Amino acid sequence: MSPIYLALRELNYRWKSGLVFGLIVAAVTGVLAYFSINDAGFQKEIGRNVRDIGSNVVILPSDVDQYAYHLAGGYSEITMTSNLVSQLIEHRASLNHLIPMLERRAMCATGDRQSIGRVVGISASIAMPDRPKSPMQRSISIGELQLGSELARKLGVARDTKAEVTIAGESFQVQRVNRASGTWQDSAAFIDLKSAQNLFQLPERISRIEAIECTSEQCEASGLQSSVILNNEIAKITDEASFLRKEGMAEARLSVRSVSRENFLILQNVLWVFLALTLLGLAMLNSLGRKPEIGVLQAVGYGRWRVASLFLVRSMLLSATGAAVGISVGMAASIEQANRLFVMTGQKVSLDWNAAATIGGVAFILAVLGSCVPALLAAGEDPAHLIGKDS
Amino acid sequence: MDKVSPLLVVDNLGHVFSNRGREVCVFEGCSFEIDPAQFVAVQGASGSGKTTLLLACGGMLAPSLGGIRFQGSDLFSLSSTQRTQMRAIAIGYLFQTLELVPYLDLTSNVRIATGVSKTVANQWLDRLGLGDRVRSYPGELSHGQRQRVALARAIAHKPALVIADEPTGNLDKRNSELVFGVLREYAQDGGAVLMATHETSAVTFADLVIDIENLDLTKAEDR
Repeated sequence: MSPIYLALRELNYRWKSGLVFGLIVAAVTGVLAYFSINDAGFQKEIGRNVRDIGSNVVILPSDVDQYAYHLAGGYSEITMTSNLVSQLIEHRASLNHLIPMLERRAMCATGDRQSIGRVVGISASIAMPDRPKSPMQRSISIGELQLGSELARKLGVARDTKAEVTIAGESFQVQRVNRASGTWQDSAAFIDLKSAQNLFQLPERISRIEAIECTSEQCEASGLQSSVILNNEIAKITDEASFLRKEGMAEARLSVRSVSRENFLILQNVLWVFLALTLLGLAMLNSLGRKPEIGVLQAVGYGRWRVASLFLVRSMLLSATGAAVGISVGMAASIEQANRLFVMTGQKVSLDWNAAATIGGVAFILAVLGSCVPALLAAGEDPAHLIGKDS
Repeated sequence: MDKVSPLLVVDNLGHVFSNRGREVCVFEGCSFEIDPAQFVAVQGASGSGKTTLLLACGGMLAPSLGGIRFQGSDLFSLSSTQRTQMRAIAIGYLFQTLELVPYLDLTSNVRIATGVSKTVANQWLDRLGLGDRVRSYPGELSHGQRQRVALARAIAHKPALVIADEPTGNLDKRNSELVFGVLREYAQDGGAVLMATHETSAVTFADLVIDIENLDLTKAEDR
């Protein structure tokens, strides 16, 4: 009689215990699949939020006196070559989202009003070739301008109204008035970098480059601090620039990412341990509870592996079915929730077949081990110890 | 006339087990032989070691002392796999606790013995008065009916030796006679039977009676 036939008959007879086993496999694999997809969505959303916090590294001309720079509210008229951007890219510096800027204080006028504003020529953020990301800063069209909220108030430009601002004799159409940010940006006017270079007759010159550091891997590998790594990298590329790290922001970025990652890692590990213990426990209980049956099968001539194969077939059927159901439901629920919870990044969350294969594979192996090992051990004993009783 | 080679030779057998750190000797110095077509009854009070002796003879419990030769081979010198193969072909065992497989119908319960076809399984069930219950499950039967299914399983693959542990325990007189009749016929047809029993009536047709308590052997011709 084939092991598959016997396993199917047993499953049909003890369908309630089989159902419980399958449901538990489905529940645990489902929760794991749910959290693995949810984690990916959460990481994407955290990434987006962290990116919106802004740059945490500023590269300044080396001649800038940082005391005077900070005293002036993070402003300096000293410039450096814009070629530094391509040099940083060429040397694969541990940076991303590079935003070169040129700024000058200049008179801004609209109609009968005028005010000194911080005019900032800004480029769209430039991603490193091997670290493609959606842009952190979009480009401003030539001839257009974005106004900081306080400067707009000084110039009498309300939100959602058309206006024209003149700077150094050049006219710019107001593209939008930015919301108040509580920083120097509220008193700034943003125009395209090239336009600013032409306007201030400083071609190929920039005041600074803002960027986001990408040093976490090197920090982990080398044990060095991020500032040391960046200093070394920039020193190798140029002596015209020095860098400034916004420590608080940089630490906050790292902290948010690492806390969220560690939190999910702990949760995932707990779930893996729970999955392992549950499957091993259930499969072992089934095998140990059927010791007399193992003894009978041995008594009628079933060898060790043939006995174990009954338990193997049972576990394979139940764990494969349970995992398929659990992973499908878990992934579907997670994607549905990601779409609701993560408004901006939810659409980017997709099925993770690698996670599904890993979860399903591990569940399968655990169930098989949990049932076969005790069955093999039991089948190695004398049948009398499994069924015999002294009279 | 040449003497037939014995099927089973039990030589100075004894068994000791440990109970709460104390060694308990179930029996020792037990020796006998069983020839093909011989019907042997083992008698003794509860706890005297009948089941232990039978399990050892069936290759299912390694004895502490002595040896057992079955069909010329030292049973416990064989590997576990070889012993399992020997049991599959040459030994049929009826457990005192029956141990039917609850999720198999009666036909399949008989068929888990090696090489038993559906027809043969149903013939044996019919012979034992269960012809109309072949599709039933053990849980739907009385104890006596289950005992007969267990006997069919022990006997259907025509083993050289059938070992039956209290095959008529809890059976009424009619069913006891039916079971004894089948076993006796099996021995008459050339198969050896080793049976543990409390029933004194069994000794009347046994070729050899072993009193496990006194290690006393009584042959039929000596009675």
